[in-house]
Amino acid sequence: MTTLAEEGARPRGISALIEQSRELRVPWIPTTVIVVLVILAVFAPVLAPHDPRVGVLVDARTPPFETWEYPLGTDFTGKDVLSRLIYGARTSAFISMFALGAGVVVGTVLGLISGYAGRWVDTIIMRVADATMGFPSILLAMIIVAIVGQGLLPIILAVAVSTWPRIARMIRGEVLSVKDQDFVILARIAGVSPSIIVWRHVFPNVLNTLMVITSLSVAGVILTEASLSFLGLGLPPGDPAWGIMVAEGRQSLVRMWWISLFPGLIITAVVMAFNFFGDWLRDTLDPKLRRVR
Amino acid sequence: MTRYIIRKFAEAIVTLLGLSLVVFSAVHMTGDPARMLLPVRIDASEEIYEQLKEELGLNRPFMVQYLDFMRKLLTKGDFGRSVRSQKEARHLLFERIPATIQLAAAGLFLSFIIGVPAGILSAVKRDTIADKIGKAVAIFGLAAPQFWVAIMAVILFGAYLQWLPVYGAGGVKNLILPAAVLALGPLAAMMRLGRSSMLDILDSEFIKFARVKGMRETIVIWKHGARNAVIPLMTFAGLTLAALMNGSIVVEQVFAWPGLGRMMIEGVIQRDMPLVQATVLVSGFFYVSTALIIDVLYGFADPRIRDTN
Repeated sequence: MTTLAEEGARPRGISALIEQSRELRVPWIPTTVIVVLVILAVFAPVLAPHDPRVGVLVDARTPPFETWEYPLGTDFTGKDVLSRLIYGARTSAFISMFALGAGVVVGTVLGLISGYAGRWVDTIIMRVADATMGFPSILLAMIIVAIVGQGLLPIILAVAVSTWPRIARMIRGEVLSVKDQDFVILARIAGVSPSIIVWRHVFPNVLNTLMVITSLSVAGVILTEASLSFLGLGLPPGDPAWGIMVAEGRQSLVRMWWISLFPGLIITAVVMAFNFFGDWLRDTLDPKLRRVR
Repeated sequence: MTRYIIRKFAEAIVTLLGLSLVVFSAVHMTGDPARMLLPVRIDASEEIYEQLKEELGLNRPFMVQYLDFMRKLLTKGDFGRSVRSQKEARHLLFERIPATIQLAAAGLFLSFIIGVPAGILSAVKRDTIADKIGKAVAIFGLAAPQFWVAIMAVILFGAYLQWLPVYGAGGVKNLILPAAVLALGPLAAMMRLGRSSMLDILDSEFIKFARVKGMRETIVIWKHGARNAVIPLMTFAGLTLAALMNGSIVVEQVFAWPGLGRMMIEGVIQRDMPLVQATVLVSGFFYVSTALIIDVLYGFADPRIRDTN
């Protein structure tokens, strides 16, 4: 991260061009990790060498790096760890996509309303957002799981609930800075209805911020989903999800370290990748956000 | 200032009331306690069922039940009974709360005592190997899921090396691993924040002046620099709190630590709703009141906060 002072002292001319192209440089490693994740998720049935849910008991407890048949070993019922990891990418991507989608839509709509309407509407929405944002996400998720029961939908809902407030807050802040600009005021004077002003004139101006905050939210979404799966609040045990896999390693801790190690490493790598990617996107699209956080 | 405190206080109370309403309706929606209480094998007739409902006061309108619950809670500290064990939730809570406080306090202490100096050192030794290692640790600590770190710690220290106990509460030895795992996330965040805030401070006029005056570098850094760098970390305390609570739920589960978080998960999984209700309310109360204290302290420290809305 460069400070503002360093940017001011940037050299001009040809060296500036080189500097700029270097500054815009896409972070290749994180991008690769994300692309691989997407490929794994989409093509899981083709890529996975074994069925992730059915184990071969004879091959149970195979350590990793010993046979080509099971490069990352098998668990205590002979399920292939590699295949489960690949399908886990699918589970994680699926849940994260819907949860993030729901969180982004709700957060954006409420943020737009809150910022544009102002007054008591704003107060209520922001109070709720603050209360939700401050509250530990797992606690929130527990309440939701307690209401709806365990399964795919509750976990998506729980993750979405912990995602929307931050997005709403950011969008609201952006709207506040846009809504007093001339083009918005003129539209209002011209008698354009509020919903059209917000949709046609305000929303396009907060799009950059939305993209940045969305990409920065992905890591948190993945982590929350994995934590909930780990705690046994998400999908049923035995399903291929990274959080569940880590938890399964616990049942046979002493001799089978690999069951927990690999899914955890993958979660860490993916979260790191999204963190770096989000930081890069923020620095590129929305430099003024850089110092806030 | 008084107005600021009153406003924050009112907000905290409204938040807690809102939480209690949400949780109570959640419990209300999840199932019929009367059905759960009736033994499964006895083919209970509708009559007995209705009678039990009457006894438990479940026939009354929702709001009446809620107000009754709140009245009992506020006047007698009565959280109701666990559906499973039939014990009073209040007593179960009292058994669990100390363990959670112990764990959270140890985690907070560790993360602060290591994270802040490490962050400051990282800033002072900017771009050296030490700084790079520090940054790597922070990046890892923020990305690695706590439950995984906990499990790996159990495997490494408990199963292979057998250095430390990894199961249940007990002496100080039992506390080390869970507290260390719990501290990792906040520690990483504090390192990061401490580093950037110290970098800002080192860049400021008064530090340059102190150096020009020929003051010894140790004094410049630790007395003048570090003291000011810690202030922004206060704002961060609220976030740390949420992270600690999130973490303690997971960590308690892995290390079989007999605290609130474990009780909460047991409650959710066994669908013992009164227990879930009690643990969520108590955690919420802890969270909201600590956040309130932080807000008020921050109001004292920074007058701008209390004037703006």
